[in-house]
Amino acid sequence: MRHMALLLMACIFLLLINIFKKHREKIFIAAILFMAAVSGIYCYKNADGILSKRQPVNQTFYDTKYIDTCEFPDAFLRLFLKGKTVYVKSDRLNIEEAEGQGFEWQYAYYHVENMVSYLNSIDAIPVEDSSYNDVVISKEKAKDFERLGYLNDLLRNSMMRSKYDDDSGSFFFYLWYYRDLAKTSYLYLHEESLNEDELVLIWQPQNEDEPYTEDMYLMGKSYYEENIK
Amino acid sequence: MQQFIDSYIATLSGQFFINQVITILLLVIYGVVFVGIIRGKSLSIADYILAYPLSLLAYSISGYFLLSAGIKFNKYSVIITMALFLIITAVFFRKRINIKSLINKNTIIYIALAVILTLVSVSGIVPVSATNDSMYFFSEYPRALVHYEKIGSILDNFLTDASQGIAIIATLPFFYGFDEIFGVQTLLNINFLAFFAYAVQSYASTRLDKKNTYVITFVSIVMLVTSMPFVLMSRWFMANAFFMEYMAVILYFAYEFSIKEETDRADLLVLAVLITGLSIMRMEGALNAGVLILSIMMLKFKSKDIALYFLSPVLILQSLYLYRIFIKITLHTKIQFMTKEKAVVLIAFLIIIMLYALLIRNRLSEKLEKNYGYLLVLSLIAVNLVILVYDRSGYIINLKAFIFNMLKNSGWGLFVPFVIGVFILIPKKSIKINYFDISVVCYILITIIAGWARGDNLYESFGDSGNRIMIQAVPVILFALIVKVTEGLKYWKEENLG
Repeated sequence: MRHMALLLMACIFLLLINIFKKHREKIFIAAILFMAAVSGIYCYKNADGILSKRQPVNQTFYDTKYIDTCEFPDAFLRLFLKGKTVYVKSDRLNIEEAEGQGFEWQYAYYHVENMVSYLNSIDAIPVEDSSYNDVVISKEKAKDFERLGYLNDLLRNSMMRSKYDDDSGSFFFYLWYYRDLAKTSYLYLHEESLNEDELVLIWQPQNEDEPYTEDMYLMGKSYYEENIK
Repeated sequence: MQQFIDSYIATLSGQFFINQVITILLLVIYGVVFVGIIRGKSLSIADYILAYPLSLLAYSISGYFLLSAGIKFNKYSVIITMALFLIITAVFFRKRINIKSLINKNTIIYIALAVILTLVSVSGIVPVSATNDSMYFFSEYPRALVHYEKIGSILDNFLTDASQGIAIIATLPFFYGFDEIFGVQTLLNINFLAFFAYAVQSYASTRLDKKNTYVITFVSIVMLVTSMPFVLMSRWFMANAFFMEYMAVILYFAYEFSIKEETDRADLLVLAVLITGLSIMRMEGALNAGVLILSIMMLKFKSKDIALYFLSPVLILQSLYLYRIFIKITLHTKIQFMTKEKAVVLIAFLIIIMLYALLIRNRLSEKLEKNYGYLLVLSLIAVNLVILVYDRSGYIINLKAFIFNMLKNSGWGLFVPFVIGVFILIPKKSIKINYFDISVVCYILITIIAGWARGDNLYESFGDSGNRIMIQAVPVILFALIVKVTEGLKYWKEENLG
């Protein structure tokens, strides 16, 4: 409809050009400007609905409006975790153990490994510690945390840091694992305790039915020692 | 949480800002020195407009060469490669070098303007858009390139699907201490507006009086900044934005350089850098560059210059890169845009163009030479028809996706009726098919082929890659339209004079 309206306008201008031949150049230019203005108004009103915009005054890829859309937590993490020690679980399984517990074989390759390799890649200092293995963030404690965003893309793209130089390190399997096998998983932060150089990152399945969908909780070590341990 | 993140990021922003500004200004200065060396006389407006885009490409091509050749890619090696390029250029153009031509009032004004525009661009007040592809193809993948200093099988489908040229430009933050290159792209957009105004002004000034030239230049900028596909694409941090702008720059400057009485080696070198840069700007970039070169063959460049300056660097760099990713590296990817088979077809295509330029182009009869543009279009239509016969349903699904994207809400806004509307108003007797029209048609035809060659069906969405590569033609379509508008005004003027 809007297309037809603009074409109709053009036809009216064509008629005017033919009637007022003496001023045809001026009508021609005015017609182009008028149609461009209509096009511009349409663009102004609709462009943001197609592709949202932002003003990157903070000089980073990350923008806090991504908290609402849950996008790109890694764009913040790569800045925030640089140089910081991050304690994580050391609950790796080998293939036999993983398959014995009913997991796909990729679980043995990706669980722990992908997050640790990601942390290494952003110059954080991950420390695998088995004393964290049995830690679970209860629903009650989880209320102290705020959601920063989705983790699937971060983990899917940790393929770029994979140590596996075969099929298991391929984009194809990472995509399948973190898009099809795992449902949407989230990263949560305990904001008040993050002003520390030593942090703890706890991962755990979102619920019993989704063993591949692991949410992660990032907090200060002192908060962990006092409230979670 | 928002407050916490904001305050944390604030501690980093100041240094990021300064580092990005300094990096851009160093690139600008590199660009000015480069054009200064090859011109050897006072720089023209066109030279200043070309300086920044050329320096970005010098960085991109240097990085691409290092990665493809298996040489360590880091901030030192890339600077050394860029410096070597400058030195070799200086050796070839040593007779022209004239310091006074470079250090003068105009250059100082240009640098001052560049400082102001860089500060504005990096400040972040100009809106940008970023999506998942922006994040992983053009921020995380470049970060991985910086980390590994080379390409290897671990990078998997990023090697067969991502724009290497733009990913390399996007390594700048990770080498030089900032976090994103929105400022780099915004400055390129501003530079592009200056280019567009310059191109229209230059074209119109030879056909219209001064007043009408200014009017048409103003109108052209209004047309550009009010067209939704251009607005959306230019602010989106993706390779398409760069490709869209560089393609228009190449098509116009090829035209401008070709109408000079004598071919200047400097012009050829400028086009060589631009075309080579474009060829690495998307995975199908070399295919587009090949067709672009075929379009440029309509102009009066010598065949050996076309082969040496335009085709050779594209062919050499592509071969080097494809050799590395398909022969030196074992890829395990099962989902990929560029495959071994496509790579062979691509290289064969470039070799055929090379052979055509060297062996056939000069031997065409006058009639064939005159109708070369139409033959080129017919050839591409023939390829489209072959695909249609070979894969009828796939081709039609893709064609429908292209058309629906243009007419529905996939970022084209009112562009299509606007172009048709303006075309309706142009005096029909003034309409002659020219180099720009044929180039646009060729681009559209090759885009349909590239869309089909992707493998998966295209779909209706602004973000669909087929839609994005079609949008890349928008500035060139507008320029071709403005050429028609200019010719129309000229026709009326001549008619008025009787």
